[in-house]
Amino acid sequence: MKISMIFSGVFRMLKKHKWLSFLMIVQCLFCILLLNMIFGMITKTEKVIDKYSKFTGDRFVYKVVNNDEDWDKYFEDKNEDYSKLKRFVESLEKREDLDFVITDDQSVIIFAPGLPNKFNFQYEFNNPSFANQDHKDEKEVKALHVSENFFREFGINLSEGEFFKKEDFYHKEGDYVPVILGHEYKNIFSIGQIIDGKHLYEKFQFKVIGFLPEFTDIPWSDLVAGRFTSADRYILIPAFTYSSESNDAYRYNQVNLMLYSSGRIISKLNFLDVKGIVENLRLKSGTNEEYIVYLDSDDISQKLTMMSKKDLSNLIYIFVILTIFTIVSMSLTINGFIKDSYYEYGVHMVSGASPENLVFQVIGFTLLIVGVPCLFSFLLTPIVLLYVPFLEFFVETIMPVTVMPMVSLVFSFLVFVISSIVPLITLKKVDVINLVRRAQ
Amino acid sequence: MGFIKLKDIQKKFGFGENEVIALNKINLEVEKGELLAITGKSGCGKSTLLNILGGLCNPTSGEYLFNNDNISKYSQNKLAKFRNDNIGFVVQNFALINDMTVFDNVMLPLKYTYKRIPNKKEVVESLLVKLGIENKAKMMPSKLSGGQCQRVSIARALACNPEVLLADEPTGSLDEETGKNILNIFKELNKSGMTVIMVTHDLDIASLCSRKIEMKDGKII
Repeated sequence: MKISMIFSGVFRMLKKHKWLSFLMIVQCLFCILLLNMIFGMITKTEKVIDKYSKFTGDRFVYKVVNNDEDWDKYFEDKNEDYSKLKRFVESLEKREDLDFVITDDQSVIIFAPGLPNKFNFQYEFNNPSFANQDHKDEKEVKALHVSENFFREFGINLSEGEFFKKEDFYHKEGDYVPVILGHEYKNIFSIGQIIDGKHLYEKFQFKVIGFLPEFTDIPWSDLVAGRFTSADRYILIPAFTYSSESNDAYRYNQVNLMLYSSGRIISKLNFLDVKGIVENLRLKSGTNEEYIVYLDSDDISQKLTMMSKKDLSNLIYIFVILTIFTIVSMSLTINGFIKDSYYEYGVHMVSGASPENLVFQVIGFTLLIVGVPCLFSFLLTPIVLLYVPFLEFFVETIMPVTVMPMVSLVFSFLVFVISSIVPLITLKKVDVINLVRRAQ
Repeated sequence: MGFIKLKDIQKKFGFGENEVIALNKINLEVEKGELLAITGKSGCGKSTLLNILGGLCNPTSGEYLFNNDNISKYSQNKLAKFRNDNIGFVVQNFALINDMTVFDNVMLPLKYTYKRIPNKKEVVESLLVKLGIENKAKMMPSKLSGGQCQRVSIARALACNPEVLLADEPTGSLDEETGKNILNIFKELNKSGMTVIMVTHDLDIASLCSRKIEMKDGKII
């Protein structure tokens, strides 16, 4: 067997069918990337479910859902609805049979020259939003407004600094607003540093009092219910009440309360019991049911599992269909290449090529078609999963580095073996005389 | 003892009702340096005999001795080496690869050979000169005339310096004048000591050979 002739044969096949070869390579690459994404999601889902069950234990997580549309009356000046809603939230917070936790994902604006765009609000959605296009040093950054019990309920620690104190949740004009920053801010700000900023068009001065450890996951409030996201680029702010007589402060509290009222309830009680409590408190506080619409009936960890499973099964369907299509089309295409090359094979055999030579040329070509995307996937998978903002959002915790190349290798090997079967059978069936007759 | 010796060679194709006996108990001896013509009508088994002589396939039964070596039981890979070392093929339609240059076509057997040939490029160049097509080296076969293509085919057949040259209707696609030129090349090669076995249905061409055998229904008559 002449190795040089195998390489030369593979190169000739590639040169002769360059576009179809390119398409097959792209097809394989898609399959491998999709498979790695699925593995990434499985790892992520398991990790997230683990996290949820760690802090909930035998408790359930519910969400108070408020109406997004009928708030006009609420915002009328000195309307009683604000006081009623405040009473409702306060009474929820006072309950001992359940824990009401505020986790409100709302951007804040900070004055931070040179702050990288990755901190921008919605950056992970490929939608970097700048607070003011004329003042690029003002950045609209990701922030989570939390209640005091947030850290305890979600088992979140600090890498340095201190937690929010009770008084931090009642803000007086001129005071600093304490903030706890995600790990990636560590290189930019330090403890005690004052950052000028805005929230809901009110000017504040934020004071850094702590940092979260790297890879801290925080529950996400609004965008995708039940998901965790990385807190590394987040600013944690106390869900405070603005203690001031000014109209602006009143309006500020009004808006915030509307947002904070849709918090989470963590309790051992079942859904109907919690729903009864929420309904009772709402009636007692006089809050209109237009504002507090319902209590989300699903336990979030259960919902999370269901959602992840649904996402995953959809991806798996796409992957299976694409893989079958890839294998079938590769088999048929390479088989076609062989039939197309009968004459040429005849000439080669007359010139001294053995059937083994031709078999290895086909194997080499198939290996190339599968091997190139496999190698590319080593490079592309981390890029796709880590640096494409939208995907990072969902799969920010990548599977162990060793697993990904192994998954790619095993999958590529299987595709190679299955795709080679039909072409090799075709090649095996053809005898030299037939080839030479064609050659003649 | 013949240089090439076929003993009771039989070749069958197909199975059961579809079985065809292409060669039936063929016995043949060819001496080294012979110029042998195999004649007969279409379908009489000439090409099958040539394929067995050239190691392109094994006989169904019987013995094929080449230089006292029994090659009738060789594996396909061993046959490939046997072909490359000992046999040069020239066929009616030249069997050239159209998207390879003349030079590369002639180089092809040298790429598969296990023989130690130090300067393969020089071998190809000298063959092209010998056959008078040195100025066509970089051309594609599709740009050549029939006679030129057959010369390329002969050059390729001679690339590994085989002991036997097998030609299947080598002048079948050529006009009379060009055909004569090609036959002269075969004669020259034979004169230099090469064994040449030629399949032809043209009795005039066969008469130019030193020996002629005729086949009918898979047998030598």
